[in-house]
Amino acid sequence: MATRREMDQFLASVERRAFKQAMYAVRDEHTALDIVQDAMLKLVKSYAERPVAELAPLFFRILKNTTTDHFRRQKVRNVWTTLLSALTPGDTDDGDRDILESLEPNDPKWQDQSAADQVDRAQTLTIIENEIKKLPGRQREAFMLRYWEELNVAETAQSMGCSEGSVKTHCSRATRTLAKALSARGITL
Amino acid sequence: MNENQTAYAIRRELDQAAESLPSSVTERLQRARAQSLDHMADQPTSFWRRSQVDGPPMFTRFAMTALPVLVVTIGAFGISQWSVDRQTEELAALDEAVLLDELPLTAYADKGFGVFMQNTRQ
Repeated sequence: MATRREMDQFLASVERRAFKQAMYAVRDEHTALDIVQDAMLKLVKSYAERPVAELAPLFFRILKNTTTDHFRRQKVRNVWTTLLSALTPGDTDDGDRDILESLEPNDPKWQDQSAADQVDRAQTLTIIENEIKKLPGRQREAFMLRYWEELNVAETAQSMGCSEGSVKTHCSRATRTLAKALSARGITL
Repeated sequence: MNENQTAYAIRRELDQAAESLPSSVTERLQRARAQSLDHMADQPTSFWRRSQVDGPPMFTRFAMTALPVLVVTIGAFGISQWSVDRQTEELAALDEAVLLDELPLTAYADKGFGVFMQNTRQ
């Protein structure tokens, strides 16, 4: 059974990547944060008694299911939104927003790089993330769990609810697709 | 570059992205983690403690509803069976009395006895 400290360490180790994975799926920061928060709560409520080694596949399965639930709710909500939007006036643009409020302070890790390098790196990252978002859901999921979370094939299969052969196929296809897309854009890693 | 090398090179870039999250996001993640762990501190671990907090599990609730119905059904069947057995015993006693000459055969010709036999059979 995972102790409170072990659970804390585990969640701290996965929270950022979980957020990024949710972002690739839902493409909205607040929604992604809500999904990660729900997943953490569900893991603690239902699986706190499991050993630490089992938490990663369980957590990412919960994360995937919570993301799926979000899309289901959104589908229902969209039906009502479409019906009601015909009755409400359009939103006016908010001109009071200060652009400076949206600027983030410079990351200290990148401060030793030149501005040009930082821009190049940011662009490369944006391209990689966009290509990952374009992947089919199962391929993206398999790729993330195998290469980013470093789950083995069996754990990935357990988390995704599919066979080990399917995991290998999804990973291979995802990697080839990404390599081809990045190469086409002239990006070498 | 083979597939594994490509994948791990992409992973390095993704790690950078994860490390560069804005503070608004990282703070919210920390709060979410703390709230989840607070819930873990209150969560009972044993089956019986969980039942006290969350209520009995579904199969227990089903058993608690079905059990009284089952008891009543069995009881009704038992009483019915006992009544049939009692009537059978009474009839058997009458037949025995006839066979042992304790009850004359002419008793069957008596109207009152006929009514008694009819009521017993019912």
